[in-house]
Amino acid sequence: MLGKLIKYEFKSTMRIFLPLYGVIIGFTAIRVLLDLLNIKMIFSDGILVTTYVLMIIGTLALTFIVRIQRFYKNILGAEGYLMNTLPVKPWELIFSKLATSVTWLFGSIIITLSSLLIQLVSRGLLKDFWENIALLWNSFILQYSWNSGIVIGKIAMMIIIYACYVFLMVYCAMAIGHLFNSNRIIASFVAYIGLYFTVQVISVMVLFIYALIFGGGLNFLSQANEAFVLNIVNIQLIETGIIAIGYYLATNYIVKKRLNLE
Amino acid sequence: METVLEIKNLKKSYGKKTALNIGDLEFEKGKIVGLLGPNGSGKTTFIKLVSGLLTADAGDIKVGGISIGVETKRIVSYLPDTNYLFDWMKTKDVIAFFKDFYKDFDEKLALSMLDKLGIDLKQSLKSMSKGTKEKVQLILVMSRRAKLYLLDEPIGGVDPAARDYILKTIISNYNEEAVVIIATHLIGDVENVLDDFIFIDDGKVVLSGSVDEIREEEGKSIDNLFREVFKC
Repeated sequence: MLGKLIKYEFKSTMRIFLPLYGVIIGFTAIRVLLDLLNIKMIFSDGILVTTYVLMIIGTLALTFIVRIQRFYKNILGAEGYLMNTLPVKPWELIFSKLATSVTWLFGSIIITLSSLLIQLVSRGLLKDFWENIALLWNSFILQYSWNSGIVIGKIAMMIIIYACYVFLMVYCAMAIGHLFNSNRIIASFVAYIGLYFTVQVISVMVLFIYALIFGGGLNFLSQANEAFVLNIVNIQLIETGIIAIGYYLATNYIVKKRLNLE
Repeated sequence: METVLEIKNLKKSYGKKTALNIGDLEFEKGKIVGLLGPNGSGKTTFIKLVSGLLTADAGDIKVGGISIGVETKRIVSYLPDTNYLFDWMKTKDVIAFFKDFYKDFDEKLALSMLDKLGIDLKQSLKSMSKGTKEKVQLILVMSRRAKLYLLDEPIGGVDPAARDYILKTIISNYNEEAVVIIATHLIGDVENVLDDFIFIDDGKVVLSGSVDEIREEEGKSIDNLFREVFKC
């Protein structure tokens, strides 16, 4: 059933994301074409760059908004009448939403980055761009004597964990808001703020405890060494993962045991 | 007789307002039961509790001996009083959707009913009138071979001719193993198809019994009885 849920979730959201990606691809194609034909623009380059940056920000923002709105409407809103009477387990419903959200987020990131790279190529700027990236990368690897493979793996894992974390936090806030009899949307916002601050406090506490035990006191930043920083990254990652699981379980509990579609 | 739906001391409030507070009820197989009451009497709350869309504050609901959950959703076919299908889908998409998720969905039956009502499989739900959408929903719900059908205002938004068709559909599609619960305030229209009735008001069961007994013993139609009981 999980596969079917994911299939329909993609079908539902494809109608929004594919045209959106189409616009980005079209925009990129036009710019590349203008560069190739060496056509002087009526507009200044500045306006185009601004439009482009806004488009990237807009795409990512829209990805988040659409995905959050989908969860609300589809599980806690009007379409919940259909979804919550299907013979599927609540965790499957939530997982299908999460998996689709993370996939579309990756899609949006890849499409905007590709668009940027293609334009850099068409302007002959890619070499510079790539050299800068390589410089940054090498300095990183050299400084911490890390292995590139591990770094890439870790970055990918971090993006997935953080993306899950961000979506699950919003899902959880909406589920908590759903526990109230009225003003559920306001309650969801308040819940989100509450969760945010709680997590901040926990993070800082974890960091301090770690610093006190392993870093020789609170002035750890001044004597930070490689292993110490590496561990902080790892601890943050594990902590984020655990909190994300917590959000997942809480959302599942509410949808399973406290659903009240009015 | 085999009990399909069993209710025990069911309570549900919205904030301070008690929406439902009923004692023990049993629904035996092969019956069409009318859940009848004025607006806001708790009919929809009852249906939503049994379908699992609401969580009870107290009490117990069992369908086929199982507490509400995934297992009961497999055997319960629920028609809400609102549009609950995805607007972006075409008729054929919702058919595929039901076929994908419900093992007991009879696609042939659904297609033949849609054909009889002249509903285009390629038409999107978005472009349908309210009445047509309701017909599509009812056809989907009645095309399942379920143990329990929960129909919330199935005839509320359609014209009298369509009402007759819908009621005929309900009678001809439910089987002797199943229970059909019809929640409505349009009693005159449904009374001929009902075996049993439950009058509900202010969240409580006011009166219940067999439709035939009321007719024979008191010489009254359920419609008349309703008007007496709920006199304003």
